[in-house]
Amino acid sequence: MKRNLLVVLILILGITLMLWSGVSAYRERRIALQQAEANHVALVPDNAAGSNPNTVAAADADPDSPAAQGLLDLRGKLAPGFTLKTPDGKKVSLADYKGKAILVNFWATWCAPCKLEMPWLIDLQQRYAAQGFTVLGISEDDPPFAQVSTFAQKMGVNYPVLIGDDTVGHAYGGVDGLPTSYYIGRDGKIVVETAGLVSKSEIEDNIKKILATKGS
Amino acid sequence: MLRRSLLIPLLLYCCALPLPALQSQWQPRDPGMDFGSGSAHGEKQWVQMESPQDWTLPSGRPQVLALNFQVDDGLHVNSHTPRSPYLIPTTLTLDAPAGVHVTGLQYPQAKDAHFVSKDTQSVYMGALPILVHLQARPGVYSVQGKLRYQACDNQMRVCNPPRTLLFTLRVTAR
Repeated sequence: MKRNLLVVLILILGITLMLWSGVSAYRERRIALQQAEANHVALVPDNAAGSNPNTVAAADADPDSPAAQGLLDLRGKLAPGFTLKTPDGKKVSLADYKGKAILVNFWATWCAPCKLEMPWLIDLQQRYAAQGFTVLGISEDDPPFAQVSTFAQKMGVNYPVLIGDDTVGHAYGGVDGLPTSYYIGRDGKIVVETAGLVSKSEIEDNIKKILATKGS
Repeated sequence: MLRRSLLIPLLLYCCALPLPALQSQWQPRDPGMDFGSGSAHGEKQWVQMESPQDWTLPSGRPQVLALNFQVDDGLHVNSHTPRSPYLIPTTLTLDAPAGVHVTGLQYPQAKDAHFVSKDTQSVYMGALPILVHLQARPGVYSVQGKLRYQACDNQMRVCNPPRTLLFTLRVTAR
């Protein structure tokens, strides 16, 4: 009888210890969760143009900075290289245009402001190509890509149009809102970046800036 | 006698074993994991669903559910019938299980808008109610829904990439 009582007591003690450890582990988890929530900082700005959480800190300082436009600040850095295909399957690399001033323009057929700036880009391509300038239009459309070709032909596009992929957009900091443009100097470095539609004169000024750069 | 007296504590012991595991389920849920509706990849959405997701309706008779969506301030989305074939229409898709028959969808009247360009665009802004005509046999159903849209700002400065808003309707037909 005594032995039975001893066994029961030991078991009760064991259960009590287990309950205590369970409760204390639960409390620790709760404290850890509360600390994690307290340390969480929302870095995403609530703007219509999309956002890049890496760029928010500088957004307040300069309203015209890439950060304020929701872009990663790539100015002064070498433009990320890429090799993409045209809608008819021809491969085109950024490296093919070494020494030239390049406007990399992300666009899509469904993007009305892109359609609005397209005639400006066509005109500027025509006027500045002889000085070593080119536009590279990177389409962010989903398949089928035949519509990209049809659209570009209909608009009279006179510069290479390429089919973008996630890798390129990611390399340029995650292109979200369209149009987004990167102006690359003759030395391969990004000079200006813009998100959203800007005036034709602003585009032209930026082209003049990259034409004035020297090759490396 | 000995066996019986040992059996009861042993049973108690076994019952107590899963307690720590159960406790992990009692902890508060991560608020970031609570998706009522959302996108496939947790992407930012520019249209929100505002109507309830639980519906109770009489069975065996034609019914109309009003699904209310809201386009974020300062933005517009293309209507269900945009004026250009290149523009992405707003499209509601419902995957109705057996027992629920969706007989039609009714999109709201679109607005003709002139933004920066000369083109007239057929768009939705603000409230975006879509009527769903359906009939259901008695039962409780889960209806998966998708709203595909493409939004631009009203200054026509930036267009956001197309998005799909995923949601689930719980339909009880009595």
